[in-house]
Amino acid sequence: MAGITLENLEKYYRDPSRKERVPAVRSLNLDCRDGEFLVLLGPSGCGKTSTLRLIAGLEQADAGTIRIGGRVVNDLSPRQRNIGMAFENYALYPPLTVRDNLVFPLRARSVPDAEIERRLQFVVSTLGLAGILAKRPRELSGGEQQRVSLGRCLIRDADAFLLDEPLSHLDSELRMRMRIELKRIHHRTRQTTVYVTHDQLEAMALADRIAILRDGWLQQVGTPAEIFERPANLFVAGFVGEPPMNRIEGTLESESSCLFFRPRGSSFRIPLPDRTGRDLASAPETGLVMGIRPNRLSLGTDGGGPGLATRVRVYESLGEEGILEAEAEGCTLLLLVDPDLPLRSGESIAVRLHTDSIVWFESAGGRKIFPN
Amino acid sequence: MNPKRKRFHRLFSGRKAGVLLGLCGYALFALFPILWVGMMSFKSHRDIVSPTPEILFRPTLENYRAILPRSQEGPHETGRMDFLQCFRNSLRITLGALALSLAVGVPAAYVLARLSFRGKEDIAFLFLSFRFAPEIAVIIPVYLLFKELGLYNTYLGLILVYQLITLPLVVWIARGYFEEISKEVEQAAQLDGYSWWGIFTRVALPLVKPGIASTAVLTFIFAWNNFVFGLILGARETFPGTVATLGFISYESVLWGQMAAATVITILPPLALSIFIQKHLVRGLTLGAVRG
Repeated sequence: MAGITLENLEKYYRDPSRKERVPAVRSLNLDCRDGEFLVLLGPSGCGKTSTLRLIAGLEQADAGTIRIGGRVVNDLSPRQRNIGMAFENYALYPPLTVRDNLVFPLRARSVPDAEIERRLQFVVSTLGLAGILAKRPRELSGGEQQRVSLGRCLIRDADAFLLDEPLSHLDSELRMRMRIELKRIHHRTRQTTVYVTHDQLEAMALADRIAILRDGWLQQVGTPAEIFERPANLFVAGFVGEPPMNRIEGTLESESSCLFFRPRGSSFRIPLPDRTGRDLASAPETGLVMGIRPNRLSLGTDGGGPGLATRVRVYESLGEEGILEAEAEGCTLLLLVDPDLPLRSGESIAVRLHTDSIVWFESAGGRKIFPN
Repeated sequence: MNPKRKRFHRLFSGRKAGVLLGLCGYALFALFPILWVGMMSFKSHRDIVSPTPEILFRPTLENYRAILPRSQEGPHETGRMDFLQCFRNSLRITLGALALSLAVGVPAAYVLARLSFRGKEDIAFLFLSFRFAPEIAVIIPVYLLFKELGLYNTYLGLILVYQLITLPLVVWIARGYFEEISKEVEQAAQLDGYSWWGIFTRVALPLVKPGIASTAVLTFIFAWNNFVFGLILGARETFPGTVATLGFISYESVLWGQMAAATVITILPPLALSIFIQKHLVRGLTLGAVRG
C-alpha cells in the first residue's frame, strides 16, 4: 500500500481536426494519503478520468511528477506501477469464466498456484462471488460484473486502486447497495483508493476527501463536510448538493449601523447580524453573492432569523422530502421542506433564513470570501 | 383470413412484391450460368454441340471420368494438362497465400487498429491500394520482374503475387474486428501485467478468432477464384485449377463437357465454404466498407 502524490501535473490532448492542444489536466497538485479513499468529482470533461489514467500510466503526462509510495513513476509502464484499476464498463475478458478473469492478473505475474488459490478465496469471500465462479461475463448481471471487476482489482497485491465510475451503469437501487459495499470493502482492506465519479451523492457517501475538478483545474479538496458547508467557489456551491445551494447576487447596504443585503433588482433587503460586517470587512460592498443551502431556509415567521415575503412557484413532494421553489421579486429560492405541505402555486409564504450558515462569494470570479 | 394467407398477402403486396420479383430475376440471371455449366458437365459431347439444346438429356459421368485419375483413355491427351495436378496447385497456392497473409496481416491489422503513429492511415491506405489497379494492368511488369528473379512458374512466386489479393482483405477486415474490442479490456490486461505481445496473443486474438476465421474463408474464396496471375506467371507445372479449364480448348476442338466438369469441381470448395459461413460472410464483406 502506498500514497499517491501528484505535482504540477499537466496533460494535453491533440485535437486532430483543429491541430491544437486541448488541455485536460492543468497544473494539478493533489495528494492521496496511504489508505485514504479520495474521490475525484466533476462534470464530464473536467479531467478526472484523465487524471486517473495518468496515475495508471495509460496516458503520458506532459509535465509534472506522479509519485506512488514515494517512487516517481512517470516513466514506468502500467505494469511496473503495480496499480489495480476497475473500468467504467468493467473490461472483463468475455471468453474467460469469472474464476479465470479473477486470476488472470496473477497468471500474468506467474504467482504460484497455492498463493493464487489463497487470494482467490479471500476475494470470493469478501465480494460474495462463490456462486458465479463458473459463469462467463455475459451471463452475469451488471452488479455481478461490477463485483468481478472489483475482485480483479482486489486480488492483486496492488499499491493502490483506481476506480473509474464503477457504479455509473447500475440502476439506482443497486448503485446504493454497491456504494455501501464499497465502503465496507474499503474499511476492511484500507487500500489507498482513487475513485472517479460525476455523481456528487456517491462522492459524499464514499470519500474520506473529495477533490473537485472543472475544466482541468482543481477547485477544492476537502472532506465531504468541508465541501458541503464551505464550498471554495460558486462552481462547487452549485455542483455539490441536491438541490444546489441558493446563490443570490446583490450588494451590502448599511443604514444607522445596521447591515442589509439587497438582492440585485429588488426593492426589499435582508437584515444581517452585526458580526457580518466584521466577517466581510475585506469584501467589496457591491458584487457579492450570498450562498445559502436549501436546508438552511425554512417556512414561517416564528423563531430567529430574518424573514422574507415570497410566493410559491413550484412545490415538488418527493415522498421523503419536498422541494419548494419560492420567488421574491425576481429572486428565486430553493427550500428543502416537508413533503406533505398544502402549498399551492402563487400562494404567499414567509421564508426564514438561518444567517449563521450563509457563505459569501465574490460575484466576479466566484471565489469564497467567508467563512475562511 | 387465416394467418398464413395474411402473411402471404403481406409478402406479395405492393413494393415488397416488386423487390422480391427483382431479386428473383437477378438470382436467376446470376445462377443460370452455373446451372448451365452443371448440366453441361453431365452431357455427352453430342448433346452439347447439338444445335437444339435439350433440357432433358441422358446424363453421363464420362466427362468427370475423363478428367479424374486413372482415365488414360481420355479422348484428347495431346496438350491437355493434368487437371487434378492443377487442382492441387490451386490448393497449394491459395492456402500458402492465405497463411502468409494471416501471419503478416493479422498483426499488421492489430497495430493499425490500436497503435497511433505518424502515417498510420497512409499505410492502411497503401494496403487497400493493392486492390485499385486491375491485375491485368500490373501483370506485364510483374512478369518481367519474376522472370528476372526466378520466381516465374514457382509456387513461391504465385503465393507472393497473390498477396495483392489476400493481404488487403485480411488487413482491412481484421482491423475492423480488432477495433471492435473494447480498449478497456486491453488496458486492463496492460495493468494486470501483460506485455504488448501477451495482450495480442492472450486477449485480442482469442476475442477476434471467429472474425479471423470468416476473414480467412472470404480471402480463400477471392484467392481461389483468381485467373490472371496463374495464367501469366505460372506454367504447366503451377497452373491453378481456374487456368486448367483453358486447357480443354485445343486447335481441333473444344472439350466442352470436360471443361464444364472441371469448372464444377473448381467451384465446389468456395461454394461449400460460402454456404458454411454465409452469415459471417455478409458481415465480413460489409465491415471494411462502412468504417470511415
